[in-house]
Amino acid sequence: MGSSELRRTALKRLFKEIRAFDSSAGLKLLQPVQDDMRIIYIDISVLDNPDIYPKSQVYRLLVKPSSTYPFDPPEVKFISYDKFTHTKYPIPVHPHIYSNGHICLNILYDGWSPANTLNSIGLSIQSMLSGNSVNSRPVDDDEYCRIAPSNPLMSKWQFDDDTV
Amino acid sequence: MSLIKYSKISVEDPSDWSGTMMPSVSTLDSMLRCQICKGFLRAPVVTSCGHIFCSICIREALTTKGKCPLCQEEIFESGLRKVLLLDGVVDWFKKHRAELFSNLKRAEVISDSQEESSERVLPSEKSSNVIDLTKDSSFNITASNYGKSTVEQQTLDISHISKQSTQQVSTASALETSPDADMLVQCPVCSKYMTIEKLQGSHIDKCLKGQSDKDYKPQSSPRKSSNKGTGLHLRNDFEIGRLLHSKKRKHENGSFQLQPGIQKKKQRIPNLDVMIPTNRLREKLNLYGLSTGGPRQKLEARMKQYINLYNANLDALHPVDDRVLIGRLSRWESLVEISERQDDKARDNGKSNSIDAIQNAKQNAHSWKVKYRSSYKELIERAKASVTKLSKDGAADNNALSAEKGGDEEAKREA
Repeated sequence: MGSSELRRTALKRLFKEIRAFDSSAGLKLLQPVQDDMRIIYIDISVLDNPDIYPKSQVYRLLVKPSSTYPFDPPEVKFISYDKFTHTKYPIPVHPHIYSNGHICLNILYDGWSPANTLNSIGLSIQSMLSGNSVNSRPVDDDEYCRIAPSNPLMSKWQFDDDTV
Repeated sequence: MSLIKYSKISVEDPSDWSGTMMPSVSTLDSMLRCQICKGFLRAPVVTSCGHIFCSICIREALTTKGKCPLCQEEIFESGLRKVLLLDGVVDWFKKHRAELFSNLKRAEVISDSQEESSERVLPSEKSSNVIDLTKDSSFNITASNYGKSTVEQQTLDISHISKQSTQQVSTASALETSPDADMLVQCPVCSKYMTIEKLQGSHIDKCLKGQSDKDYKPQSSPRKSSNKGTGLHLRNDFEIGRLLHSKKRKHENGSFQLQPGIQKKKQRIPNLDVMIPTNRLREKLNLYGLSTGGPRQKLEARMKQYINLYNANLDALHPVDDRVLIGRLSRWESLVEISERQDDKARDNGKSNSIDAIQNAKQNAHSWKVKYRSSYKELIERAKASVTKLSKDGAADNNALSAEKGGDEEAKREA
């Protein structure tokens, strides 16, 4: 894997977070590689917005903590293909989620705070989907997906829309 | 390569208390934890906005970004103040957590009623799980795991059980620790307990050199020494009351707020001026007994981390020796080096590491080809034409060719 070795602080914290993860109400934490904290999956289903997101639909979120976690944000994106189980997943349609799975949400980039957790990331994204009423991709979807790096942290994000 | 054995990491967590007779202890447990490292507060400091973190955690966080992790308010390192009383409280809780836990652990007896009561948790309590990120998130989660009805049920159970059974308790006597036993500190090298004077005087040198300290008679740890007390038969709830009462007494006479005398003499290291010339920086590192090797960037990072460690140490109720800090610094540095090396490796391998990236690249290349197929064809035709022209007209047309080539390249770029 490309991720670097996690430092002790990062490991300790992730251990506690995984233990304390509140796997209820449409959130589920998975570790594709046992005892490896460098790749974490969070399965998200949206229970209260059936017009856009069917209740039974599961979206798989990839979380890759950096070696300096929690001081720096982890890499977070939706994935369309799980290479461990060889399963395909849809990318949820949302005006702030690009079709390559990248999410325009400030707490994942500039607005990151070390007090955020795996649980709070999952909940924010879940509530972002719950509160959505626009069934479309971002306006610059094609353009962004063509030039986007695989790691969304390498993109330059602008957070100009507070309404959704 | 894994540097840390997973089994060595303690995974104690506020949720441990859910199976005990007093699940509400989890609230206290989570309140005594730092929101950055999720561990118990080490040398807690309060920010100007009123939030409390481990000294070292918040200093490291502020090195990255000058905002409070909980409320995003702009804060400065100079505004951090130590909270010695809280350090004492956390210390007490850490020391007695296992004891408290084993005394409260009666899960089997009450498991039936617990299941019943957890079903009764109101849906409104569940929905409070949707977190406002500006608030103390993990605290919300743990708190809502044990709804009010559960707690009430549990309290009833406690009194019920304690009527039936009495227990031999050593906990209460643990509180009758003599005041000087409190001042014992653990040697970071050999883990023996001794007075700080003894440790910093001669013991630490010997320990670091690997000699065993022969003239030193080991004193038992504060906890052990107190276990000798008379075994008391106490009812559980009474015992807890006593624990709290004794803590209050200690608080009143203030011994939890006293740092060792030597601590007062030590001054904080001011923040590193980034404009400092490299030779002055080396002098500074030398002054604190740190390595002066490596490029400028490394020196700066080393100095910054040492300042963080040093200043955080001053906030601790039981500070450690500078040499211990230097040991921690070198461990930190070796970990940073490893992760940097791996980052480099990852960069060298390019995106080939990630299957997603490969797929993206393939797709991109393909769509690119399709989109600009006609332009490519045109360019190839023109190139062919110019080659034939070249062979016909010979060297005379070289200039014209190069001009055309330039034009082709431009066309390519436009495409």
